[in-house]
Amino acid sequence: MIITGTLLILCLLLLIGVSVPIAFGGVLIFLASMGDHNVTGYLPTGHWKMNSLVLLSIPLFIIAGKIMEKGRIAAPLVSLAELFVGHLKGGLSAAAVLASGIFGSISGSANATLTCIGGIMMPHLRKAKYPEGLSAALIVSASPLGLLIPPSSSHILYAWAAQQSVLKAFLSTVIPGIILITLLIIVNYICLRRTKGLQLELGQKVDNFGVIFKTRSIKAFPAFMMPLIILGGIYGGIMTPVEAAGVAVIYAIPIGIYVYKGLTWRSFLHTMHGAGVTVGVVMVMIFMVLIVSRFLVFEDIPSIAQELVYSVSDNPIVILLMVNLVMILIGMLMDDISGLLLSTPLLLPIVTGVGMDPIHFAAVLGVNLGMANITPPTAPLLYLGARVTQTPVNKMMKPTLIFITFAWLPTLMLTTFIPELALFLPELLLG
Amino acid sequence: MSDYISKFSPGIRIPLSIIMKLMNFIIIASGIIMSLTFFFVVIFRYGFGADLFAYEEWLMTIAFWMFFMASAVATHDRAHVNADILGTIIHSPKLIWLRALLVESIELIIVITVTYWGFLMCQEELSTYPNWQSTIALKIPFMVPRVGIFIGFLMMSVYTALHLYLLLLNGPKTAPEQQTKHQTEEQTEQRLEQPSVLQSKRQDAIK
Repeated sequence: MIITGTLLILCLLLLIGVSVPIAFGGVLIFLASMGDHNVTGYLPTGHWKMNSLVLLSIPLFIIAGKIMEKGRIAAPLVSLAELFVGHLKGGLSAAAVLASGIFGSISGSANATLTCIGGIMMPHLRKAKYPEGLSAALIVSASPLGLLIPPSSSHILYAWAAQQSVLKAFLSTVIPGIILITLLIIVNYICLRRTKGLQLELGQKVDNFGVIFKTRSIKAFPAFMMPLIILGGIYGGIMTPVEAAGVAVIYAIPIGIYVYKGLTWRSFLHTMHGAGVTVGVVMVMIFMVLIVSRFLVFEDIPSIAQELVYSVSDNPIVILLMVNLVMILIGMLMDDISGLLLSTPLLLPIVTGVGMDPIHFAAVLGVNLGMANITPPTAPLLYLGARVTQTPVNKMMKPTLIFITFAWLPTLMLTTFIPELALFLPELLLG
Repeated sequence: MSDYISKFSPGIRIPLSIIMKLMNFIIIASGIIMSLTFFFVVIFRYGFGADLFAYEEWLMTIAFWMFFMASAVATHDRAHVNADILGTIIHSPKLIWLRALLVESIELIIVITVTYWGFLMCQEELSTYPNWQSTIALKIPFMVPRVGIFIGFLMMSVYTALHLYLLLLNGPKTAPEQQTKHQTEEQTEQRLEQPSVLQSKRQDAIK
């Protein structure tokens, strides 16, 4: 009764357009009316659960991503990538995918990646006569790479919620991320093969390659230092992910203001405010989801869900497919962070029951929620992408579905059914 | 924000504007403090071989205030994430308005309930005086972040009520604007930028 009621209320509220944290508030009211809970304990539970320093990495990565976006820190990275592949058919699109991977690894945010890379790459792609809908769909499809290429704030959250190693969770999605990058580039190339009139000479105009390469490399150097500081700091054992996020923010400020001149001190304050509001949106969502998941666990819902799934089939393949389907549905209704916090306590016992390693599940969850964020009808990234690239959604819909079917879905299936893809790097580097 | 707050009488408008400025200050200052703290934690550790004593206790307190003030501002800016599927299906202005009315009403009921729970939380915390729960090292009472949580939800209730009031006051003609629930950072920012533009236009008009 409680599990059905909770799901019904949550889905109904979300479908009519109630915002995610408030919808979880509605679930809490339902739980309060059903169980014998003391309502005075609801919000203190959220405070207790959220009173963790690890969670501060999320606001800090949001702030870092926002400063990088406004500070034009990604532009020199993109121009360097263009130099190498701009003259090839599909090369400029490939540069957009690679830039999304690099930028995503620094910012850890799909929204920031999409806004930044989409804003930079789309005018170039238009100028080179790449098909508008396909290019915009590709940029949108590549934007969740920030969830897969470490460091990703979603993985910090997963590791915290599932009591796993953050570094292992980070590494679990590296190979799936590379597979996805490769598939996106291949699928895009296939879609472009009959397209005529692409202005590929934009890249060939470069006569003095060496000089331009040197100039662009020097310009891109401060931007390249960001992943080096963050990843080097974390994997070198110098900083925790939270500290790395804080250092990234402080490093990005002078780089954005004095080196790339995308920010002024005045616009910096404005950027901090914008990032702060996003932080509020995300953290209050986490606060509400944490309370709901705590009370769902209190009501023994994970065990009930486990029994429910096992009653349908005890075949691990069927169970994993069902779990994936549930995660896609969850991801289609809410953002990746809420989806992750809801999925982890509910689905982790089910998948570990069929022998899946929690670190493997981190990779599956990352790919799944990334895909759900671009899957219509909700697809928050798709609609943001339409605005950023100034392309009508209907032009993007078909190519997006092509990228989901031939790039995201195969990556998800490979990640789900070949555990080595997720576990090889964590085991190799961290034992 | 100030675009619709300016529609109210000075008795409501002035306190709301002051509260908004205060919340904006908390949001910006907290973000800067949070980043600087972790930066200095690393500098102190490797530069001076020292540690910032119990920094997590005051930092988490500041963080809670930031999160909930920012959430209130997000409610004002209609920046909270939602799945807006119905919004893409219905096109009739009246239906859009009715749906917005339904959503705002439901949100108001829920957020008022949560605010009441926040009040109960603070009341219970207060009743334990002088044996307040507090942090281990710096003895910061839990009351401090919890008041932030309560005020955050209270302001969310106020802004949701204002949205509903304006929706009822203006009727279906406001529906399309009410429907543009923001799902993304970019949208949030657009809303943040809008008030300053409107304000400057208003000031120009006054001049």
